[in-house]
Amino acid sequence: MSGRVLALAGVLAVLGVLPVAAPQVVVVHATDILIFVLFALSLNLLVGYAGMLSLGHAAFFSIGGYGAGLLVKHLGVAMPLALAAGPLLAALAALVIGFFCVRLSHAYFIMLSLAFGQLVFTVIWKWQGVTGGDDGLTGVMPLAALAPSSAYYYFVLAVVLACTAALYRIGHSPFGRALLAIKDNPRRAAFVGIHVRRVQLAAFVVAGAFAGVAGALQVFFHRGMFPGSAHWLNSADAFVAVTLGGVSYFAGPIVGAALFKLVSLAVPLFTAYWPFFLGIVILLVALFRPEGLLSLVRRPAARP
Amino acid sequence: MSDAILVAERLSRSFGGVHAVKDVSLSVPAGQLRAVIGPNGAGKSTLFNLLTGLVPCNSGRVLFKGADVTGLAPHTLCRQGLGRTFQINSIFVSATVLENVQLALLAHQGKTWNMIAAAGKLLVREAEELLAMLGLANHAGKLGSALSYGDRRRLEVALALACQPQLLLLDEPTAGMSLADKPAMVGLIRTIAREKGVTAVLIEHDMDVVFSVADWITVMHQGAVVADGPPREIRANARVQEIYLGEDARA
Amino acid sequence: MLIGLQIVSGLVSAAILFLLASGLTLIFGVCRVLNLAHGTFFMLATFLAYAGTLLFADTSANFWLTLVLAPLVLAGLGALMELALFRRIYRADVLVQLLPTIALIFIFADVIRFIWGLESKTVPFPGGLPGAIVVLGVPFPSYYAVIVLAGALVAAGLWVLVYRTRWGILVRAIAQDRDMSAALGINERAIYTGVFALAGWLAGAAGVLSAPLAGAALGNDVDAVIDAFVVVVVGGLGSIPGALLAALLVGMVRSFGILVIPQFAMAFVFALMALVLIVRPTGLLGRRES
Repeated sequence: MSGRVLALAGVLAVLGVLPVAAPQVVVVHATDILIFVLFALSLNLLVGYAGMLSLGHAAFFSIGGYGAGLLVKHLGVAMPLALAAGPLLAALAALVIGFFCVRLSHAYFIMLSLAFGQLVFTVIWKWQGVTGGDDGLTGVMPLAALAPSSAYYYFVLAVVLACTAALYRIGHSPFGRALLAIKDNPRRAAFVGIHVRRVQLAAFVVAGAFAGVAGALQVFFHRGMFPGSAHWLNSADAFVAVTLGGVSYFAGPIVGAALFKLVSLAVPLFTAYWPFFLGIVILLVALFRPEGLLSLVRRPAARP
Repeated sequence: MSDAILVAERLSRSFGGVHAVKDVSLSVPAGQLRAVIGPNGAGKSTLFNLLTGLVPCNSGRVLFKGADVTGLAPHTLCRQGLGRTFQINSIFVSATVLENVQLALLAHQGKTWNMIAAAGKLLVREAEELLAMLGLANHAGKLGSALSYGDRRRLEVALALACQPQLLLLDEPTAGMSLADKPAMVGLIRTIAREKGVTAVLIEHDMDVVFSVADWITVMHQGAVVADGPPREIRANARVQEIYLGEDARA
Repeated sequence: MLIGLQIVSGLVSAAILFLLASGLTLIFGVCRVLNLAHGTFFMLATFLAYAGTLLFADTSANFWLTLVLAPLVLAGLGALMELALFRRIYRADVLVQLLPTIALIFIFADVIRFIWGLESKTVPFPGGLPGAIVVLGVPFPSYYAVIVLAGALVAAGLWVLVYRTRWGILVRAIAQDRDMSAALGINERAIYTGVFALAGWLAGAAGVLSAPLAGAALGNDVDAVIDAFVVVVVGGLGSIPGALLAALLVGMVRSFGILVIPQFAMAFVFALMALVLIVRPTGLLGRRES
């Protein structure tokens, strides 16, 4: 137990002093990684807890970002309000999309989530008048106080830590247990009185909301957003990150996302064909360590 | 005479061309311990599935505590006081025994929407009491997947009991159990039925169990009810003997 | 007049969609694997069609040659993937099964990028065809007729294969009840390889046929697999007749949707899918999964 606490303390310490100790480019990358970690954690509420393999999660990431960005840019909404509104919009979208998706299970759910994700991408891409289409949404400015990269880094760190704590709480709550039960044995879950569809929909919405937070953090970070943020490849990245680390560990998505991002930053230095190597890594993990990389360090848990 | 807690009115269900359940009617008074027996393929499990909303019926009605519950979803029935065990163990294998029961209790109390509390600390005492009643107290920390068959069977019953049912449907509760374990399960069922006032309907193949515990027996064959009465009537029923033993065994 | 054109282009869409979706639904119905990399085979075939025009440039029959060869290449690739990879993951849970298919998407996309670069390619219409055909007073490219004909032929061929051959009986047996089939000693392994090969062939044919219309471009893999998914969801997982019916439906909806709002034609297809899912969640001709 104390080993874990020490590790956690160490990581937090490093994260805390980063802007002081490291060059700006590292801080910028770290901000990116933190946002992606949140995105991955939100997905794992579905994948690791509820057993819902969503391949369209990027839709909510992008709706959170575009939502917040459009409010700031076109309606002059202040950043704090927009930052809260983005996830709300994402949650709303998750409610609608989830309504259709949770009616199905297994293969149908996977395919439908993928298809809806691409629908959102297509809408964002083609709706040039509103979203700027291919040119992207630009000129989304954060509060002046948060403009410097270290300031924004601390802001993101605070939000991501808070969200991580919240997701941890949710995972270990009765709701989290219900999700695990549904994943384990949906029929028995129904027969102990759990309204399976409704609980699954709630998980979908909560996961979508947290993805929306990540997206909103991103849009102010990059001063804008592109349709690619909604593309299935972004969903796939999160999916890979989550499974790479290990879906049955709470820290799995954290480790997986961080590793994924680091590799995606490092490999392009050597070759342009980094997806190829990523693909090889995924294959190897799937064939030889399907429980995820964290299983090298800790015994596979029955659940996160 | 107590009111019927469970009434099936002319339930029918076919799959393709097969009539799994044909025009089945039965009425179970509150507090009764009923056994549903019949050879394999008689439609007993399908009947349970129809009663509990797992499978929609082609025709007929189900009345629970006087209200029409035909086709209601399992979780609704559970909330109304109907518990069920399955022929093949249906527990949560990835959770510990304690967590299994905790979850069922939390669900019964409508607490599964709580996203804030630490689930591990809730309803521990109540869960432990339930486990003790089923002789599982020593296994509280074991994962469902690590339990022996007999213990899984008992956990199955615990989960059904957690929703404080007034009606318990047990699908072959002693199936696969060793001779040593069976009496305990039978005693458990008897205790639940008598001391807790729970109406119990069991599907059973073991005739010793049936005749030692049932107040009333319903016999099914090829989807239909062929006999319905107290144990001594059924024991003497020629048709029942024929079904089980073949025509030349009639003595 | 316009309606006629939309109907024809709807049929063309339907033909390609059917070729694409039938392979995907076969793999799922028989092997119970969701092959996300199916679109990758389609995309590879479009690039092979492009390569074919370069390779056989001096032959006027270069397109037809490619149409024969490329699907065979993809069939071989499909069989190879089954033997080397999919075989190992049949018993794994769905999560673990998805990963390798995602990996294949990344790997093949980069291989294609490595060979052919980032730019989209155009593929010329095959030579030797009359310029235009007039049907019911509507003129349209004769190549359209080729596609629709090919789609119909393949549909007929598949029907014969699945319902009139011994292989087809075995495939249907496995799709319906694997445990029983295994107990009966049916050699599943060989059948599975065959299914992947057939699916590869179908995706290959779809890719080559669509190349003159839509070209070869990176990103076609995901678009194709989603198209295939939509058709399979509407038609019912594992049902080839369902795939045919759904392909026609989706092709027509898309074709007429473009008339109404070109940008959001996809939304109409989604509306169709959502409607089907509400009314018949297992698809028009799908079977309820136990």
